[in-house]
Amino acid sequence: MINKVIEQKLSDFPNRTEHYDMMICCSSFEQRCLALTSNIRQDNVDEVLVCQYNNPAELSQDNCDKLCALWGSKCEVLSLDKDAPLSIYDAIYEKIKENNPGTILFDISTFTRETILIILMIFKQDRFKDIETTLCYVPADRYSMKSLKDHEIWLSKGVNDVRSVLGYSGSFSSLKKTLLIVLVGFETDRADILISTFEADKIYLGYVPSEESFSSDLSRINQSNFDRLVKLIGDCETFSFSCRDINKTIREIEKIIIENKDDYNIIISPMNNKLSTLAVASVAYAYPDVQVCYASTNQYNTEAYSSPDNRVLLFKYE
Amino acid sequence: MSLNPFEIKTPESNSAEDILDLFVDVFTDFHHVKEIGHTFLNGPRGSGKSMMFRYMMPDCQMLKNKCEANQLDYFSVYVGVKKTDINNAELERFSKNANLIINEHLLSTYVIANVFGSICQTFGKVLDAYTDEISSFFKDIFVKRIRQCGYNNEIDTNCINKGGLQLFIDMINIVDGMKHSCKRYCCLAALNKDQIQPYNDALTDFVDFVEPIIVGLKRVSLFPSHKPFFILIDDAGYLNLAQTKVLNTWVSYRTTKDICIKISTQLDYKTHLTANDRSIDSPHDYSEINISTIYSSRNSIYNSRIKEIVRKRIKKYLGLDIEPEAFFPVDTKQEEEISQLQILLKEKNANPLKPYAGKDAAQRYARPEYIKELQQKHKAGAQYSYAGFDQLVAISSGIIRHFLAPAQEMFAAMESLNPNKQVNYIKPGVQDKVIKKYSDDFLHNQCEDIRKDQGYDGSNLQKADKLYNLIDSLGALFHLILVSEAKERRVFSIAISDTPDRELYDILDLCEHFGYLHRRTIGNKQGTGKNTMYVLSRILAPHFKLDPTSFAGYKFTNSETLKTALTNKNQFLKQMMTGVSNEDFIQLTLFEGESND
Repeated sequence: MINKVIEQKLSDFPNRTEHYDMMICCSSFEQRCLALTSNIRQDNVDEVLVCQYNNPAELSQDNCDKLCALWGSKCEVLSLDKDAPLSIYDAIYEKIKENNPGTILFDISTFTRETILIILMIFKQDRFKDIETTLCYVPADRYSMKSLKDHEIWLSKGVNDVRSVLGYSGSFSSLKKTLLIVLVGFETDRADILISTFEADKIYLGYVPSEESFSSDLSRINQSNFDRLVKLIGDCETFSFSCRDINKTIREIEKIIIENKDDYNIIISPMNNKLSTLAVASVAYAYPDVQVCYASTNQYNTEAYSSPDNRVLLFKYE
Repeated sequence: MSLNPFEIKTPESNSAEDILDLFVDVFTDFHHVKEIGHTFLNGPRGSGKSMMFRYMMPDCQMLKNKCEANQLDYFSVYVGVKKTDINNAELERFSKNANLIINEHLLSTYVIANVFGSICQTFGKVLDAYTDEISSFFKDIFVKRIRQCGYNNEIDTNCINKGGLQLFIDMINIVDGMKHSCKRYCCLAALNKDQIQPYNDALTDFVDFVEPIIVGLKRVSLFPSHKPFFILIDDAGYLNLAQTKVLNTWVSYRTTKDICIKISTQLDYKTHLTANDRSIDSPHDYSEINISTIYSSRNSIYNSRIKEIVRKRIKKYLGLDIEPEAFFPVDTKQEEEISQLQILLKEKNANPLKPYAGKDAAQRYARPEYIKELQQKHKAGAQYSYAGFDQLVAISSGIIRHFLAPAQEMFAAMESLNPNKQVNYIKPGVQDKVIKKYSDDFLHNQCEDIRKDQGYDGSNLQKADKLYNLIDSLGALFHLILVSEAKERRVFSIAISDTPDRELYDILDLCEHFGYLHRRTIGNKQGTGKNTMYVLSRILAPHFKLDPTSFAGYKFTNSETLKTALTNKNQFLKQMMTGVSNEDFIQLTLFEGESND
């Protein structure tokens, strides 16, 4: 279960008094990776595990250096290959085992969706089930779009691989057809490739209504991308979900699962924000036959990526 | 609004009747697919592989041959490989230990569950008429085999009150259960690397499970007893490396009397090595078909196949009994002007000593001259039109989807022009606009994707840029030749007189993979050996303002000159165009001298 604890101003975060034995965060080319770590009181954290994707590391090196400078001897950098899910799992698993923390703060803001799901799966293992885990998320405020038109804005392009997420491969029956649920976000190119790869018998495309988005600008762009994708795919069902309210998204996905699980093998691909990805994780734990899939990319638009919102959301992971 | 006749649907979802209405028999072009033996059917997405497989399924074959299933020459079962069903990240945990054993078990159970599923889907309740025989198969073969493979769960062998269909469903559930239990084990092992438990469940393979199960099935009188089962494995490129090696090992077995494995790939098959790292070879172990190579080198056959496909589709969906040429008409004004030019050229080049000279010149130069004239008038807005069925077929370059996808857009554009009227033909202006955009997108969008897909690495990024430069340089060269005074102006190919270095070879390989170039071999000038020739995809003809319909000549060069095209288009063009107007280009007759490679 993932329960929201609080949503507060980032600038108020230093007033919080909780102590964490370990913080896990990800250095990225996005300034968002610094938002929480710069606003938490240093004496409230014992160890900081800074994960850095090594393909390639240069893009995030500046921010990685800043994090190291900020946390000094408390900081350890862990290099991850984002296209080797098992090695990511093993590397983080070993670090948690080594540090043996009682409490963890996991800043999900700039990890890939796949890595978030993988790390959550580590916390579910018996060995770590007693760790008190808090997830935190700093949403994107806006994207540096360089005066592009809505349909020209892109965050990533090209698909390197479509794969099931480690630990979420589900269980399929040969008697059932395939149903694909996509939580559509900015990256409609990736969504399109994912959809063509699966050639599912039934497709559900999810969109975020403006009231469920963190920003009206982002919502407008998302809606325009969504409309374009629906037109491209043609024969599909649509549904709405939330970028803010995990439980609402869980309910929407569950509705589709309950209605179809007797006739279809179900695959979900979270392609919207990190909170909706947490909702997908919750659903996958409740319905282990469901598979979660990820379309990995090699190219991020480092110019169009986000600046942080002035909010932070905290969740308890049980 | 009527149904779009050119919509591309997955063939598996079509009924046998629809398939028979729509399918154009292409097996004369690809006869190996229907013959006894293992076969690889390779072709890019949209080249018609799945349609061929669907047509080979028993329901279509029974309808076509008006016979019972047990009278068929072969009995097909469809096994579509889904990207993430048995190819999961968890299996990586076994990359050093038990890799092949676990993957063979997953593949065996996946194939057999799908074989049973395919039979259920094709025959449904009809299976109940064979209940006694299916019961015997269940008890005497299936249960015995899975017990031998180590399946220890309780099995209800009481077949009373169970029909044939239900027995097949029970068997699917058991085999799926065997697969799930292995996947569960793999997942647990992947997530708990400190505490990997021994595997105690069933393990299946080809020799002790797949083959005896299929041989046993053949005894059921529903199936043709002395004919092989064809296992149609669709999209085998989605299997992981270990599963691919296992499948190759199955291909290496001499089982074609009972089981022929027909494997389709999107040119993405991982290896031809077996589990023992030995190579399977064609024609010794299997036959191989490359759809786009055959169709891009035998244009007239491809043209007649597409004509038949279009004729069937407009008849079925629009009720129109008309020729495809009438549905995709040419730009009449343009064709009349080209005819006028032909008359002029025929007169100008008439030579009593060479009776064919006038006609030959008219044929050879009329269209290039027309394109050249238009280019000179370009400021007035005149542009060559790519409308007309024959041009569209030529542009599709041997890949059916490249005809259907733009045709679908053209049809939708015509509908939106006149929403309440049935579309009886596609206006030349609409054809031209859509196909030009399709051609531009093919180069730009795909190149952009390659650039992204190649990742951040400096050298790879350069590789994508060099690929673009090469294609751009070749397209520009062929256009310049087209509008030059050269004897042969319809050049679409380049032959390399020596061996390219690694960098050029890799880029040419990438161009071939993405469909920008087709590779062939051709006899060298001395007649003492063969050289490699690369043919530019005709999908790019509108983008580079080339004539897609002609049999093209080719130009010899060496790899050093060709390499300049990777980085310096102008220098390449300068080198290649030196003396072009006087040069005697080598003209290909109807693909004489070529061989597919």
